[in-house]
Amino acid sequence: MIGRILMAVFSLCLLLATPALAHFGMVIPDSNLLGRPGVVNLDFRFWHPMEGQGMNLVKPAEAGVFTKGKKTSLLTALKEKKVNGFTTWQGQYRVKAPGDYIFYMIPQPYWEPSEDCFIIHYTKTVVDALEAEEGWDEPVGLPMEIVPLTRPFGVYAGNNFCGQVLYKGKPLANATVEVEFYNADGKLKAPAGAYVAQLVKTDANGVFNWSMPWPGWWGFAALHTAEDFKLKHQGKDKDVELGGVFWIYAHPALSSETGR
Amino acid sequence: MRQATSVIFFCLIMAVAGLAQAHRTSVYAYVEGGWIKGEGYMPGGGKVSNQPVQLLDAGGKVLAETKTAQDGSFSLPVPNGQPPFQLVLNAGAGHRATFDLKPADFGVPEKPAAAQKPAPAAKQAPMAGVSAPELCVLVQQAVEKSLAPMRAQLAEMTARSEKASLKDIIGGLGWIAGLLGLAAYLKARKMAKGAR
Repeated sequence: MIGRILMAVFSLCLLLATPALAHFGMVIPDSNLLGRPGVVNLDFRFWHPMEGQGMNLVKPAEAGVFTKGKKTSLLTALKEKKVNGFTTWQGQYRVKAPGDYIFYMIPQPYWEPSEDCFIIHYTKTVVDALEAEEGWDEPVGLPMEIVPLTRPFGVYAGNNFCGQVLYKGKPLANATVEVEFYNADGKLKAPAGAYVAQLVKTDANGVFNWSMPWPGWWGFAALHTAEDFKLKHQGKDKDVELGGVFWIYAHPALSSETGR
Repeated sequence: MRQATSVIFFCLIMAVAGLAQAHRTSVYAYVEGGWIKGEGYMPGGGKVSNQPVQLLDAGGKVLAETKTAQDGSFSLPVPNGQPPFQLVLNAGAGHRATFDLKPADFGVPEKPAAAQKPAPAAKQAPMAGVSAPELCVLVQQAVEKSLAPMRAQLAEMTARSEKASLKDIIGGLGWIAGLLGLAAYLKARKMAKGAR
């Protein structure tokens, strides 16, 4: 009996909590600017970044780095790490030369019962090494991706982030882009559900704009239901939500008082 | 006509120079096979050609000098003396870029542990024309090279020993079954004899 009540309460909580949470594939480096040759440490997860609620990320289908027109896989070297009991992955890449390094992840399809669909978030972030500042605007060639039009490093809080959403390499008009802050230490509390995941749509050219109000990592997830395939769950065909996710770091705006 | 051409040329040069002014310059280098190899470049694209590069020691003394090539690249032999060193690319008017070469770049630990016993090789006088960091790299490479087959062999042996133990178990079981079978056969024969 108690078990049944607990189950009901749990289900209710899930039902109530779900609408406010947005799913985000995450690829977060320890720094997005590298002043010297060295190692980039990467954190791969599937998360609700504002609420800090984890999900299990099974070993991705692919994880790698794209630079100077070439892809290098980092998949075999990924190490599993439990965070709050959820599976995440740690990666490492040694940068030897100047360049812009686009780190990306293709996860396995994630079954989301509350949305009755599978989710695949193609996730990217850019690290600039030794002031190369070249190559950040190149598409990796993922089925769904955000190509930054704002150079995605050396950006202050309050700056505008402009990106173009590509679906199968072509601009995607009228697409929904969810925006969420990576509330890593959980200090920030959204005043209402609508503030957790904010939302913007792309124009006719697949372009969107967003001003990041405070410093930290900001995630952009362009969403689109796959048109040409479905995946089976318990023998039934289910929709697949494709996401093109991009992560960008906003530095604290400088203060004229401290000069920093 | 000639004047017009020179005016156009002058404007072109000014335009190119103006473009360069808008850029920053940057320099980086790595150590490979006894050489410091590097490149002068502009963030966002472009190479810094035909500009002087100096290698300084920790005290700011110039150890070596060269110029970047058309593609921005340059190389200098690893100098005698102790790292850290600093590379300075001076592309004129506020276009000075530096890059620090740390001891680790030469395969030398940042803070040599005092407790560490000196290796026998270190007691010998360094070979003529080979600097300490260079020697360090050479030794590291040599050790790595000679260790590689041993590592492979060790890995193979480990793998084989695991396989062998499985074989041993099956073999052992085979022996037990065989001996039991023999015993049963002998016993059966004895019983058959007795019955006769």
